[in-house]
Amino acid sequence: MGIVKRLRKYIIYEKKSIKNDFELKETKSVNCGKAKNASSMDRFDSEELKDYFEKCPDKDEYLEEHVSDEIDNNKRIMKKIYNIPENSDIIYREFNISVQDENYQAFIVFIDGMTDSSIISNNILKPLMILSNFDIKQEVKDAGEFIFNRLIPFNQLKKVNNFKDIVSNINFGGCAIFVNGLEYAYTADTKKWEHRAVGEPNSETVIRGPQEAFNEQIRANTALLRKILKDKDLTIKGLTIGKRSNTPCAVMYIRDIANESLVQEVLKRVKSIKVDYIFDSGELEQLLEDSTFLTAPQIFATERPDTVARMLAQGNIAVILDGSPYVLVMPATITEFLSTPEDINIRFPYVNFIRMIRIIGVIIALLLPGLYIAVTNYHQEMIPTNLLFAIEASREIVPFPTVIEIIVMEFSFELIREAGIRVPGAIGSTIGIVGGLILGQAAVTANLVSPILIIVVAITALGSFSIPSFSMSFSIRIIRFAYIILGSIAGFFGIGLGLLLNSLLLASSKSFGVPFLTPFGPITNGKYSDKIMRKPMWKQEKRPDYLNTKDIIKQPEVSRGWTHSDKGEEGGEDNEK
Amino acid sequence: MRNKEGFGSWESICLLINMIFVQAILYFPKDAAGMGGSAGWIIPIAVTIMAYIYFAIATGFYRQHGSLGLLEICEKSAGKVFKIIVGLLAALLLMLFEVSLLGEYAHSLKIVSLDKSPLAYILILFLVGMIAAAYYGIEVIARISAFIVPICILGFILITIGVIPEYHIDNLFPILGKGVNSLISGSTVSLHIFSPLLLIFFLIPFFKRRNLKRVGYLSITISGLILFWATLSFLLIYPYEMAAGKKIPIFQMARLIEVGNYIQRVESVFVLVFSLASILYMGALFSFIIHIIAKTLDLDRHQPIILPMAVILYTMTFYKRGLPFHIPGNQMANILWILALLLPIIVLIIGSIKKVTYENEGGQDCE
Repeated sequence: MGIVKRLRKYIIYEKKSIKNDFELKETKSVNCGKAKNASSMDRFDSEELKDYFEKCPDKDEYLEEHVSDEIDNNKRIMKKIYNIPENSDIIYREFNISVQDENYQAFIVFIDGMTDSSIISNNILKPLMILSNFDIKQEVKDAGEFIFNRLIPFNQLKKVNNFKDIVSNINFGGCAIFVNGLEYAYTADTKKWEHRAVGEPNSETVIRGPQEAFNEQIRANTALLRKILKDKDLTIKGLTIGKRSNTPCAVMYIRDIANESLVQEVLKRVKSIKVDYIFDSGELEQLLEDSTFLTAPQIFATERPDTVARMLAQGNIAVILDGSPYVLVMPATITEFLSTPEDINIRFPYVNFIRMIRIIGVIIALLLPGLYIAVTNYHQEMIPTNLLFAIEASREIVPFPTVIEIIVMEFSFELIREAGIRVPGAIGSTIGIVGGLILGQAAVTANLVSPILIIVVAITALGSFSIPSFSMSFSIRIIRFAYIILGSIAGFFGIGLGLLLNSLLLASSKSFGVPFLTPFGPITNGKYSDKIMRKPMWKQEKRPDYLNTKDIIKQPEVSRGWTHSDKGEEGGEDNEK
Repeated sequence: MRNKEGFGSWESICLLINMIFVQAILYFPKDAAGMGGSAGWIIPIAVTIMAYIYFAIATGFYRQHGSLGLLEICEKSAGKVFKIIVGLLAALLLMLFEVSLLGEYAHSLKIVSLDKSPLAYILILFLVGMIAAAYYGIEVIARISAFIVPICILGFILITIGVIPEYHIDNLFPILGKGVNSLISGSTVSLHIFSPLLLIFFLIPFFKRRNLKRVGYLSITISGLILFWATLSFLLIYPYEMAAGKKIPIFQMARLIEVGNYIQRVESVFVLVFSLASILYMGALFSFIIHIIAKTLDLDRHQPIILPMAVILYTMTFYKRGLPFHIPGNQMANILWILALLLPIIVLIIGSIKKVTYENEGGQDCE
């Protein structure tokens, strides 16, 4: 039967039915201010302006209004604002309250899924609906005060008289209770939504050190920091970013350490951001940084509370955005991007050893392909004769110049890395095998590249993996291509030119007023102990000079009292409790 | 740390040292050997002493001027016209210096590394570095000098250490070389090597006045040591008759180093050190030219004149062979650079007579 139908389709011509006649209509942005002015000046005859006025959203205007003592008005406004009953997750419930034989109409509004419904039922609705009927031997002068003091046994309850604050409270997981006759509403903080628990860091793993990472909840993140920094001077300033998203944000600093002008600058920049929505600290970073076109990052993003705590104690400022597991710390200089959280926790000889390895890794990642081209094309005399013969022999059958060879391989490697990140975890390792082994081996066998080049690209890749910061790693990956080109056009002279241009670019850039190459260019004074190499823990007496902190001394000259006296007198007060 | 425009004394010292260091590694030991014979190593000592005396005199006259730059002193002492004359004269001298060295460096690079590349191509690469340096300004150049110059000097020291097995003490005899007269005349003419000291008086507004003596004397001392060590090493390796004929002394020394079978030859390291130091130097000098012109003509921004000036310098480099001072070390050129050193002294004397007093501008001075 099916075959007959199919044949019929080919033999008999049938006009195809139009399945989808939808067309996306053009919309105009609505200039509400213009329409409002026109109406206020009684010039409402223009057809265009009339159209504007009708399309103008009225919810924003309601937000400016105050709570009325007539409950019907409040009901109407709340229904308008939240589009009730179309909005399925908005819970709107009307009920009655009795206060000394007098009945009051009331209603509650909250968002399902963002609030703890058992708290609302047990601590708000039950007392209001049941306790209010009990005979209380107290003369009620003010019903609102009576409800606030006696009928709602909830710890975080506020009286709010404008709809803007009420709506922001509801959007952040609270609930609002309106009572007839009162010119204010009660808002309670009842938030409880699904979130990830505090887990282990994904990108900044350490062997020795705390294994906690930030999650997407702002309050959990601030609490993690409070837990580490039990300092009364730790200050958390709450803000919201995003005209529509109203994303909560916190600016953190230690009041008696952080530079006041730096705090003001961070607050100014955060407050001045005007966007509709903001979802992640990555977006915020791009909106806050000094130079957008510089490849090097200028703000330090980390998922580790201990790193943020250490930097706050040093005099930096942290910005936490709700919904992002990465916290931004500023200002950031080159030293921050070259150190890992583990550097603090392990003994100083080990730190300096691994730092040397890491710095060599950075230099390799940045310069090795460029230097390889420069040496093989311009400075062959550097290579021992035997090795030169080996390189020449391996390159003999390759038809491309070295620069093409290396660009092809570097590009392939970047492709493998990008593909490895994007594919699901289970296939990730397969990509590595396909890319690394098969492609590399096949490229050599097919005479596309020389075997020595595979070694160069592999060592470069290892070098780039040793860079602790994800953002810095990106920067070095991009600049590496410039060095490849410079090395191929002018040998060591080109590399020298590139180093100078790169240095100029980095030295001219600033992160919140602090030059990026500090403390190396400009060289700053003071005994800051964590530059390229780290001093022993007991020698780390001062905070970085470049942060201009209020308190420069981190610990006294004699921080280990026991080295000077058995009684521990030199070391100051005893730590025993 | 101060956030105002300016830099510390270490940055200034490195900036000035580099200006003398590049000349030292490129031609000074060869010139000293030519002028003083086997006693050529005495010339850097004599030149350094003369530089101390010069700087002591200059700072003596400078005492009452606070943290004013040379051009401000000109303006306050003899009016705007005098400032323009001195400014343009200084800029012209530096331009001649830049043109002469630009061609020399490009030639040297062509000899040692880029033998198949046309000269214009190498010059353009130099110009890219110079334009970028001038765009970012003196402050940024001083900042990067703080870490690039020590690396370059370390490379130079490693080269001289590497050739120690080639040293022959006999090369230093007779001890007075071509005689005392040739040493005196050679030392006087060689004072041109310290001509970048002229720039210290344009640099003062960038660093604290109280650091002037430290910057000056330390720059002269370290540069003197480099000059002395470079000349001595060169003469210890080559007998002076051969030394006077060698081009690019430190490169010639680097060619003699043998490090087993692993690194065949290390003269390419010299190319890297020389490239870094020379581009930094040319960039710094070009930035000073732009800075002086902009300040002389009271321009609000210096960026618009960078490109035209770069084109002028590039063109002049091709025509410089017709000029009498086209090669560093040429007698005419040497006299011209010594005259350049006299310019600040003349301005400072006029300023002292007119009693241009200290003004604390921009809070730089803390004396």
